[in-house]
Amino acid sequence: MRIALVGTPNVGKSTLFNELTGLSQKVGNFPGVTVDPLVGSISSDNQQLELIDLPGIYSLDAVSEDEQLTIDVLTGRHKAISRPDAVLLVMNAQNPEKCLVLFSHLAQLGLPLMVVVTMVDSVKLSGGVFDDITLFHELGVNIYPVVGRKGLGVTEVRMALSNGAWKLPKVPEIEGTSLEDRFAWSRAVVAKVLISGSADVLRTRIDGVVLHPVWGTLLFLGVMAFFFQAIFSWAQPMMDGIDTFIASMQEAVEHQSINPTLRSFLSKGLLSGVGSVVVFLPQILLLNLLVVLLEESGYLARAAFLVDRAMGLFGLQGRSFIPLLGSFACAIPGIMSARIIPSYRDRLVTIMATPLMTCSARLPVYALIISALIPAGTIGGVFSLQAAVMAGLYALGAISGLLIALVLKKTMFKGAVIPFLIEFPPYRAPSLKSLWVTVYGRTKDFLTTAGTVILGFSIALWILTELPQTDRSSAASAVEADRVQIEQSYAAAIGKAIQPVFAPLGFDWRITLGVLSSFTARETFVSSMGQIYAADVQESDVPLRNVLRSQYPLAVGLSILAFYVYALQCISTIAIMRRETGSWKWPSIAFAITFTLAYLASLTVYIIAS
Amino acid sequence: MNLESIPVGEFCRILDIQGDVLAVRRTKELGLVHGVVCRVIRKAPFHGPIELAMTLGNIGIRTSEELRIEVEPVQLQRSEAA
Repeated sequence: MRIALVGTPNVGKSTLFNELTGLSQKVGNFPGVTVDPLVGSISSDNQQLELIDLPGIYSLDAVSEDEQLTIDVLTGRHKAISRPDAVLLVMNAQNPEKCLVLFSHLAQLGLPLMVVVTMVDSVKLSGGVFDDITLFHELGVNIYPVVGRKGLGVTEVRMALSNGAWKLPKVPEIEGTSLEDRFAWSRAVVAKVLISGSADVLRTRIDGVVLHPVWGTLLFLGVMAFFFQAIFSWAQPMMDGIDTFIASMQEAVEHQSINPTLRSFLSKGLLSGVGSVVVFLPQILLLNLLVVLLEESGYLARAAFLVDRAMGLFGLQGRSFIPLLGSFACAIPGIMSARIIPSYRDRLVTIMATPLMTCSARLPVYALIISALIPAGTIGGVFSLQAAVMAGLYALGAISGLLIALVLKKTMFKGAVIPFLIEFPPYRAPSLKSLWVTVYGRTKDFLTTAGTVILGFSIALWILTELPQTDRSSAASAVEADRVQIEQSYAAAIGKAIQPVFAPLGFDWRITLGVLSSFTARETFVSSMGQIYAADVQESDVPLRNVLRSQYPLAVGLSILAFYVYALQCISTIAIMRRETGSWKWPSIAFAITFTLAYLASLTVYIIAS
Repeated sequence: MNLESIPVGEFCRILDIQGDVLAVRRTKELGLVHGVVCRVIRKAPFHGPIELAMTLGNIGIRTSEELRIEVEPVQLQRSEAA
């Protein structure tokens, strides 16, 4: 039996879904959907139940693509997801009017229904009463009160689901079809079933601070600084640990006496590929944990209210702030966190802007090129010129990303304008089980979908950079062997072949090769240049940056920097974009736009500087 | 008069919502239908979103050319309010 979990946003639907299905849930792998609904199974003695968590809706008229999916599934019009056998409707006891309006629409579907009422404890706590027996008589379907975040009543719901406590709902007798008429009916029902308790004074007080123009903004900046610090710095020890572990495994493989090509494949292809997937896990875990906490606690809606005006200048909405900020650490978790944006179009525009935020993988490249080719002077005797260039690169990336979002919103996504509209959910402590299930699910999803693509690309890059294998024994030293290997590789051949394309930017074939090899991760540019110039570094006994300084003029340095600001030089970002947008179309467009911008920016800089 | 001209802390009744079809529908689905009385709780600076309190909860809304909300001021005693 297939059951659809339906509700208006902010009723605790996801928490209930997590409590009901736990770790059995997985991403529904339906072809051609813009949002992948989660599917979970509930097994009971007599049958297997499948619960599908559909995006929140208010009625059977969609405003966004996500809502359209829910409506198509419920009405049986969806091409890939078959119509469910029954509907489990989630209702919020504190504010049931909107939920009842949704019920009035769902009752006309002709599907058996069951209602779960959440937050009954909050009503009781405030001194109010929620009468589920009267509601049962009004709606004609079974009503189950739960406290989702404590798991109370969830067992009863699970039993009711499998015992077939389904009933066809009474179709409400509403005069007229307008929303006003539906709300009039809904209010009449609420008057019978709910006696509200006292107003939430604590919430009003907290809002007074959190949404205050000065204190609220300061708090917001503090929360965001914490958020950034967590993914930027706190993930680092774990990431270093993973790198060290992978390096020790590679070391172990290098000492095995096996076929050298196989050895190179295992160490530089497979292990470093696995490493480049696993290394994202600390940031993904932390960012998802923080995002779910922000969302569930009710703070995210308030933060969105505060920054909406500023984000609106670029055609983005308040919630876009989180993915963009996260992308300053790494675009992979940043793009994943765009799931907090409820509409597909807004999500897409935000995702298209994220790769231009300066991620931490660009830092080693910037650091190398700046220290090598930018003079160490000061501006006005105070600011270091090198630091100013670094800050300028950050600003250039951020501003360009936001402008791309604005242009996309004005061109490709013209039309659908949903102005800022948001409900303020009550503040609440998140359910630990729900938190764990969500973070676990998203991490697993990353490994199975984006992770496999990243691994595949990494192995393809190994083929390009390590094949054909050169005879290492004839080389004078290991360093020399590395240099010969990379210069004889297919990548070098490609680098030399396409070098004319990059020649106008001032790139010689070595830089072109460095740029190509950095597709696995941008910082690879540094190690590639290190390999290419290894012999020179060893002979002259000076750091790589000094060797580069003797080889290239300032104009080439600026040109490389401009290229790295824009180019979507990261297969992992491409893989996660494909995962989150549902097709190769958007990563391809993003790649084309950023490559064009990168090329033009480098060209302009190179011509002006030389 | 329009919603933006209601001062913070004052009550008003919704008379009409005009603009983009989808925006108007979503606003109504959130409970801001004709005849509803709400209170302006706060306004974000620089013509940012406005927070409104209704009996069915608080919402944040940003009016624009795509979403114009016509209201009339209501004088209410505090005890009558939501």
